[in-house]
Amino acid sequence: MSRANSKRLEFGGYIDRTQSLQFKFNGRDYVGFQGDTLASALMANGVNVLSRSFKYHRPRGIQNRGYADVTSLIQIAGINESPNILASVQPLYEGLEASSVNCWPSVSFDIGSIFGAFSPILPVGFYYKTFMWPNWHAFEPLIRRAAGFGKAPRRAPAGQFLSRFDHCDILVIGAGPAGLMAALTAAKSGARTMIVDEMTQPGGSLLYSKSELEGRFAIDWIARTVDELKSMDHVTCLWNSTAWGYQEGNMVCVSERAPIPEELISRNWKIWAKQVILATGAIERPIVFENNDVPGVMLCSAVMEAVQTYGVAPGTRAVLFTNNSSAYEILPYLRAADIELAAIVDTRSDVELDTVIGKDNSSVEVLLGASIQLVIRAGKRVKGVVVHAQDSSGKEKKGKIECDLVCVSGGWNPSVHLFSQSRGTLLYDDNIASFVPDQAVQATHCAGAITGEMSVAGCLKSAVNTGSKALSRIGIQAAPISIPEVSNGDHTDYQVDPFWSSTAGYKRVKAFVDFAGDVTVFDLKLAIQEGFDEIEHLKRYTTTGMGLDQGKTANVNAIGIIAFHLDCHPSEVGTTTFRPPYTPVEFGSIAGSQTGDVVLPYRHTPMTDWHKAHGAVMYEAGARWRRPGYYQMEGESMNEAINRECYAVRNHVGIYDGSPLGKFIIRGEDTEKLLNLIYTNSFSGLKPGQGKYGLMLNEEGLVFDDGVTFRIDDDQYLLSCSTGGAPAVERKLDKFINVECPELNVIITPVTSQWANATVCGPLARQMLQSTESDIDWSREVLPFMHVVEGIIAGMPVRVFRVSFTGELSYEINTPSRYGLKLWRYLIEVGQNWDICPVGSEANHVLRVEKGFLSLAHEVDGIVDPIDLGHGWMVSRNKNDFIGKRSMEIRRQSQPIRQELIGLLPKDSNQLISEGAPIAPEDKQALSEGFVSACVWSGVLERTIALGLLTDGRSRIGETVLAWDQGEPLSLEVTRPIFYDAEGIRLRM
Amino acid sequence: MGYSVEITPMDQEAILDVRCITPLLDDFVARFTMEDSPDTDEFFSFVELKILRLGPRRILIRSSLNEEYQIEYRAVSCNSDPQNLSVVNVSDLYLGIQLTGTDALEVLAHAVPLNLHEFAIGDATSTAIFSIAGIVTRFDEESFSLYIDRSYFDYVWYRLHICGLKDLNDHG
Repeated sequence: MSRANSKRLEFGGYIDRTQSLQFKFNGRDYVGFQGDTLASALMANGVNVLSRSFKYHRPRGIQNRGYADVTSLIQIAGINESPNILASVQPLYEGLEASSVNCWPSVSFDIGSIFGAFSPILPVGFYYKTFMWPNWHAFEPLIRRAAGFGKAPRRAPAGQFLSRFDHCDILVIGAGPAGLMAALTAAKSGARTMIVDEMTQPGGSLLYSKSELEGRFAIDWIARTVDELKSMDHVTCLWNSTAWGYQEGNMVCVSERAPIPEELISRNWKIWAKQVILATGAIERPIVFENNDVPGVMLCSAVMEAVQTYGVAPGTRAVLFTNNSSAYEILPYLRAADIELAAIVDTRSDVELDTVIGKDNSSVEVLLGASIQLVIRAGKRVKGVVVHAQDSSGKEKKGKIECDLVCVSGGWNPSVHLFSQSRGTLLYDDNIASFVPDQAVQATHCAGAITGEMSVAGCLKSAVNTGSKALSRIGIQAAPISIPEVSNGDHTDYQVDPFWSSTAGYKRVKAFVDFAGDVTVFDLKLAIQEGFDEIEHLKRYTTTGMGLDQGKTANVNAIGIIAFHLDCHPSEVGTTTFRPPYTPVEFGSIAGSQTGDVVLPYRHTPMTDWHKAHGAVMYEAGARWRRPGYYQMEGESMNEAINRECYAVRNHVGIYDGSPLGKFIIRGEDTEKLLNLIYTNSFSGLKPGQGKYGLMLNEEGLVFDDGVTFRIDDDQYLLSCSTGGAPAVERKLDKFINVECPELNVIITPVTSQWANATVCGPLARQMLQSTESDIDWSREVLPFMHVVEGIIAGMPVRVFRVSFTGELSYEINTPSRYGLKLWRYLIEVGQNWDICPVGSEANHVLRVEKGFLSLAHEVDGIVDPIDLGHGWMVSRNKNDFIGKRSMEIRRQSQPIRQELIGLLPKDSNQLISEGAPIAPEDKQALSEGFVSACVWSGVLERTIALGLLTDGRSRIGETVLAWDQGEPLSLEVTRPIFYDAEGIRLRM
Repeated sequence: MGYSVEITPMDQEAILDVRCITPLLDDFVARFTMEDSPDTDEFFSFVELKILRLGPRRILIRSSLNEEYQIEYRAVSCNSDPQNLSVVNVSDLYLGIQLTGTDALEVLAHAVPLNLHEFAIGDATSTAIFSIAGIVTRFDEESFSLYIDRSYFDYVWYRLHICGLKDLNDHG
């Protein structure tokens, strides 16, 4: 054994001593073994201090085991850097690099520890009552920098996070004795079973127990049981996986971590279980006394685990401090590790010593009815304790005992977090002085120590009974299963004295209740004095139980102390509701693989690759679509590209990809009725081949979407809507025909991606299309504006709609998507003779502003009705009803003067104005009269033009108004909202 | 260790989306699958025809793309009540991805929230695939097909491949 492993025992532990692992901590090299955690390896190497505390920067070492050990926070370095990892659960691996958190310049010498000296001015809630002059924000950056945990990584991790789903009959959470037994009961009965445990090795407390099952070591029973479970196809075992959230629908979130984070870091499971068995065990709780956070103060279970599982002696001379019978299980472990037991300090007076300590320890000093008042430290380690006891006459006496290890056990807190998350209620159990599950709300069952059962035999029996009960709920008969006999030191008679704290809580006394948030007894006492006597208020004011460990060790002690100060029973104080996550979960684990390019889903048209290959700069176009913004040629600026595209459409031919426009086939005898209800204008009498533009309102009578609907044939209509609005339109239609008007005989089939769309537009569009190989008569007489025809172009089936968004002669040519790219290429090729130009959404935007056409999210921003937009002519006077009619009419009666769509001409004809710039008079800038909704450079008009909404705008044409663009006033003339071809001659050509 | 699964794009198929208001589907399916066409003497011999039942009021009829016009024609002919039953050719709406292999279920479980353990061979359902609406069917014990809106194909394809990356632990 290397000298570096100076605290490692010569024998024992479940580590593989043949496989040594090199690792770095705070820049220093160390050696551990396969099977170590980072914490156990550091302990073996004599490292006492792992991190600094949250508020006072006090040195902290290993105190607890597993996820309850909040004092062992470290930061993992490397390509998958991650902060706030608990050293107690981090498996050691070759090359691991870690560092302490919350300290500068080093964990041994931390400047931040000066905060300890200022603790009198940093009591609980100090930020509400100090640092108020000149104001809190002057101090906030410094305080925030001083507080906290690890540093957020600056780089994205190199590895992947994944998420997945699963379903099972029985989900068992916890693989201690009860969990394994419950899973075995379920699995042997044929139920699809999943078992989850947060540690890399299943077994829970049995891993370090000296109990024997069926006459063999507990570890053998664990191995055999796990092998049996794994041999069954219908069983899934997840180790190193934490169930961190219990949601409605009996859905449990589980974060499965890679033992070595490389290509894959973690996988987040969402598991729906028909029945959940919580076998989450119990967490040993500390006792509160002065300096109870000094490295060397450890919980008994942590010491036992260090000795039995990792072969490490955490000290040489120990004092045992307890209030309950389970602590005495530590005695053989101390002997095995050659740790001298200096004294036993038990708060109880009526302990049968022969029974609990045995003859071997008869020479040990035992102080009954006593308590540790203070830990004396030397440097950053325990040097001794000061004990208060009573002599035989009942007189108080104080004594000092030298030691370098204080083993503490304040009893056991059933791990009820997930039960509470599932909305189950909790009950205070006087027998164990803690809370246990009471009424379940979901299909949840509890087995083992979570119920307050502290013996292994009792846990095993409870697991079989609970497993059988859960199985019967889903109609599965439990298979007969034998419960292993437990011998050698099973703790069948657990007794505890509800002793929470040995200090009254003086101002300067650092007796910690919550190690995660540095909350002391004084803090709780002060909060109560300040009037916070409800547990929910106390929690928030003091932050008790709000730290990384979610109150795993702190809550019950805090409730006990609060009850003492309020002079009531702990059950009267009650508990707060535990919330997910049970342990810290990385954001990556929740996001899964949805990062980088796929942070949002994206949609492509069949022509997307062509666009990219021809210089298209792709834009988000709504509803997850990406489409060309503009096509940039070499040496061309964005504005030059847009002007070139606009010029093409106004002077010869442009072509754009309109595939993303929302499309729905509507059939059924009530289609016309539906259209009349969802649109403001009348769709009665639409003949096959004809189409109509329509405005859709929401229930509030405000414009929701616009689009065109064509009657394709006698039975079939095609409704088209905006790209970005398509999902909302689909939801609205779906709700309307299924919920609001189920009597309508209408069938709606969304077909957006079924059709690719190439829109050919411009004054020469007809000439160009007439030169294609087609059976379509493109003439105005046969295919006039707002009509549709079906035909063939170059062997491809097409549907051609005469609709225009650019104000020019325009043909929207739809073809089944498989032909989309071929048709596009064909049209580009044919169009060469007419200088055809691919056009992006930026040019489309300019062209529609010139025409005063509406655009979602510009003019249609959820606060305007058709009359505001100058589309009053589209509101039918003859229809009895349409969605939003009543709301619109009522609002217009009470609000006759509203913002109206107008055109705006900047006085400086080259001036562009930011979209959204408010319009307001110079002397009343705060009173916005409207805003600029769009402003573009119009090549055809050789000036800038804008659209906007202005209060009573239509009656103010000719006025000059001011738009405030980033504080600068810009003069604009109010005009009609149409700048080009006001009569619409060009689009009807 | 990587998952044992093959993720492959499927050839485009002819797909008809049949929806109805009242439960007419059984009658329609019976007429559609009759050996003799209801309106002609044509012999019904579509080789690769499959009917996916997505609910009481919706089925998808799938066949080889070569048979697109025949099945569409036949479906329209069999539709005795076009006001209540809608047949829409959606052959270009969906693209298919097939997952085959012993771990196909494991990889698919990353994409869909379905209970795949109880998803029997021959079952089909519309569900969310990486939060995108799509259709899942099970061919056999180790083979699933996904039908997704073709505009999302690249996205789903990319994410499926990440999920096929690697298993973390031995799950037993």
